[in-house]
Amino acid sequence: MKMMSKKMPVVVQIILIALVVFIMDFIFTSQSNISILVGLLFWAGVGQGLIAMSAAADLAQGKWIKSIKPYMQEYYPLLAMFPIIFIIFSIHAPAYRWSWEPGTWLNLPFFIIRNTIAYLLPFIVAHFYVMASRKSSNKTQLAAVLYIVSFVVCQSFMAYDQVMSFEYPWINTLFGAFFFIEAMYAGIAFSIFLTGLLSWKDSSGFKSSFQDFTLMLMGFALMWAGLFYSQYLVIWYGNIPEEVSYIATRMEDPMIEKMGIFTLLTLFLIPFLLLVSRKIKSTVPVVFGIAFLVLAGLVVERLIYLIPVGDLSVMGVIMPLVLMGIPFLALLRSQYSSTNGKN
Amino acid sequence: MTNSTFSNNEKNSEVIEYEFASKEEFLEKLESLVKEGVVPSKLSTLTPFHVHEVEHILHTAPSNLRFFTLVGALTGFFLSFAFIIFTVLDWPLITGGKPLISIPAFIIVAFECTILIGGIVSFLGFLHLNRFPDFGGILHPKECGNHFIILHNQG
Amino acid sequence: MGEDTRMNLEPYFQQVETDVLGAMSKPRMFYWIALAISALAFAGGLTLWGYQIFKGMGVAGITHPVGWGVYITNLVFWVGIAHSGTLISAVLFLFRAQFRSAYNRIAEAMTVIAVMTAGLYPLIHLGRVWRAYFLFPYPNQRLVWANFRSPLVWDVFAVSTYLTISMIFFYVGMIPDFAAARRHFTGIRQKIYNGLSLGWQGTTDQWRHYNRLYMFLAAFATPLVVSVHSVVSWDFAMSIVPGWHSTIFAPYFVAGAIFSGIAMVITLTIPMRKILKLESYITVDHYEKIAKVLLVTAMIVSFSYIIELLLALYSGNIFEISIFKYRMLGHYRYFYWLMIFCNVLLPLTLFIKKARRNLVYLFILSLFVNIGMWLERFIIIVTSLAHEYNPYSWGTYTPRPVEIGISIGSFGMFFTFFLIFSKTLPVLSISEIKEQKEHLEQKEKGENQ
Repeated sequence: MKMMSKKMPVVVQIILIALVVFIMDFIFTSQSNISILVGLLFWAGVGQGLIAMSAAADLAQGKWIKSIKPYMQEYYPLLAMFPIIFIIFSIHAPAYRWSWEPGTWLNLPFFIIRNTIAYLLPFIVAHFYVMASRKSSNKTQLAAVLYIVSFVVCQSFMAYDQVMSFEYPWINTLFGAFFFIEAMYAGIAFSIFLTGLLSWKDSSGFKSSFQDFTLMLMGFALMWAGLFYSQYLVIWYGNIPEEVSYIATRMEDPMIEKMGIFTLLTLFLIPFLLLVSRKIKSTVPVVFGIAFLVLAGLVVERLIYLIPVGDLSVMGVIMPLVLMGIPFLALLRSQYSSTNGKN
Repeated sequence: MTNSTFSNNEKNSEVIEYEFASKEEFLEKLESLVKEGVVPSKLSTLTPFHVHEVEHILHTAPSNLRFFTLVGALTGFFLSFAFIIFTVLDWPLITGGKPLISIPAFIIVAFECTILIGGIVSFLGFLHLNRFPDFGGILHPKECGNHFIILHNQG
Repeated sequence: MGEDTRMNLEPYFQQVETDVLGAMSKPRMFYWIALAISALAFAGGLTLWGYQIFKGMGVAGITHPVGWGVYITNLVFWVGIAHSGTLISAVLFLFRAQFRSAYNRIAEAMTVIAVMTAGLYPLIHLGRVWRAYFLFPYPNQRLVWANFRSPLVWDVFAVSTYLTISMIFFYVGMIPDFAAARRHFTGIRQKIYNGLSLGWQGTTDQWRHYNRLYMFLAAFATPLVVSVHSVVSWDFAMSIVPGWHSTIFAPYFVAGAIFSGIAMVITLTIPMRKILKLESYITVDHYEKIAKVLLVTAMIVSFSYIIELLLALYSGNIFEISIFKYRMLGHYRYFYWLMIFCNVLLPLTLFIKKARRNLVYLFILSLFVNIGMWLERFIIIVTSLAHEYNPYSWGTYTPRPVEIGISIGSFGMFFTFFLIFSKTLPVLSISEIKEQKEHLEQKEKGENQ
């Protein structure tokens, strides 16, 4: 892994990963298997969320993020991975039940084209944004706005088109916003690792960013709970069969119910209650644990979306999840080792 | 430029008062006093706005207000939940096809009460910790204008 | 002694006090005229309410099928206006945004006044206002309690919590400023400010506890803001009415509330800074920043409009599609397109830096946003009720003179209280401006060295 990050350009990494995912997929999974989507939704959230946090900070002219921003922006080439993985996933697109009776919006060719573009868009805009931001040109603000827009569009497509349409005609108008808030949540959790590791080597610049990120993590835990509750309450209260069926099918399955409790704990209660304490907020290993739980909770939540609607296999979920994570972790590692203790 | 004055307070003549127009001088004096070995608890300051550095120099413990806030918030949360559940059990009346104890619906009022009681108790805690309203202070306010003042209690 | 690099900001501090507290004295003719007009409108509104109580709800236009009309629109509108106060104050405090100090006091006052105005509307809408106590849970001879599963009871708790916490927040922020005010005034005013300052001295301990309290209140107020307007949105979203029963409603209403509230802050402060001569404290830079927040919230609101419409089309649900068609092409179509113009298209001009920095333009824009947001609530409430499931019971609603009069009266009430506030309480946070100036100077000095 260390060799890979040092020697291999990102393009080669991505192509290799895509190839391995494709071969694995070809050997191990059937056509109705939608396992790849779990890893795709998760890592696209992390990657795009990281850049979105940096763009949002640029717009708000937040100084607290200044020292860490260049490191966050280094992740943008990895966004190129997601359109490719999506194209591999589209082999399994017939698993969408609406594809048997295509309509004007929900038909396979259009679905594949628009979602590939949706994944491509944040990568292209992020490229211009990061270039502008590095040169600190006066176009940075505009590029940041455009990135946020493309990010919102892509996450909305992931939510409404790739996940929600499994259960057509069930609709949940908040789903898209929920997805992009979760992506930012994931981006913050990942930034915690980034800043935490860097502050071990160079405590001067990153320590305060780390504390701010833990505060953000706590804030997002609360926000996540609010958004989750807004969806749950409306559906629960309305009690309309066609809406409630979504929750009912998930709550009836004892395993999914346990997974649901796990997400509530990891995405809300644990981060929120633990991070109230100032002592825990400044204990790096504990915060690392919390950030890891948040990321784990987000993976489990994607499983909750997908388990009742399609075939999943253990290997099919884990392999892409790990493979797509490799370039992220490799970059994190190289960032860590290239930061010398300056002080 | 230290325009320190010796105040002759009739009641408590052992209090030395230093008055400054600039924050930096004030902080320097405060620091030097602490370095000279004056016990921080004998020092008090009057400032026109919150000066964070003072707490740092005097090593004051963080305000105990958080205990009031915590107790208030927890009381509000549990008390309101208990109260709501008591009311639905006291006169069971099913409305809208919802179960009697509908936790999702009750969370909202419990949440509001957490904040309501938490906020009120914090405010009362603030009044208590500062001994407000301070009638002595209201009747005979000690004005320091926009100056930074150090009070050194010799006793 | 010779080269004194130390800052002496005392003259500046004095200047702040004279400027801010000076704005509180000797109102000019213009002020009295404005106050007279507002008070007259307020009195007119109260009279009309009395008339409505005397004659019965028949004098209002609300009837089957549109049982919620202008009154509920006004309720949501005023609660929305109340939102930016805490947003600017608490959220920006937690984010350590410097431009907060220009607006926070005005915005907090606006919050308190707007919540009081909003709180009247459920009572006005109630008809038999003397039955209002039914909403509060208390032991009574009928042995029934308030229905805690009802969104209307949630609303009672949410709005009254919001009023209480906002008032505490408003008051606590003013305590150090009352201490400054007692030095500047004489006679009865001095006695009042002295009492309100609770004997504030500015000792180490006082500031320590004060700072903590302020932070806790800000931390409480932030989720509270979100919850209050979420609860208001759930008054609608809990019922199974097309166009209402939607999961996005809570965040959508919250964003809309902040949007309208910030527009109202701009509407109020642009004339006010001129009249009270506070141009050096509320600067064009401050307006540019707040205009950006306005733009962001406008985009969130636009996102919600688009998503609601597209998902209605996507779902193929005939009732949902029908209600959106009705909004765009039906009886209230002009309102709908005016709303789109005000809330979606016009704010997009704020992408231009020149527009953000032009105060006249911002003022006009903020008026349009106020109108647009009022219309948004009107459209959500009225069109959905007018065009529900059963075509047999479709109908339209036109506000009657009494309703319009009471609505104008509520604006009268809001401005009456606001004008009184602007002459009796410090309109800017004096201690915070001093602190910021000190930090700024310190930083500049650090950079020069």
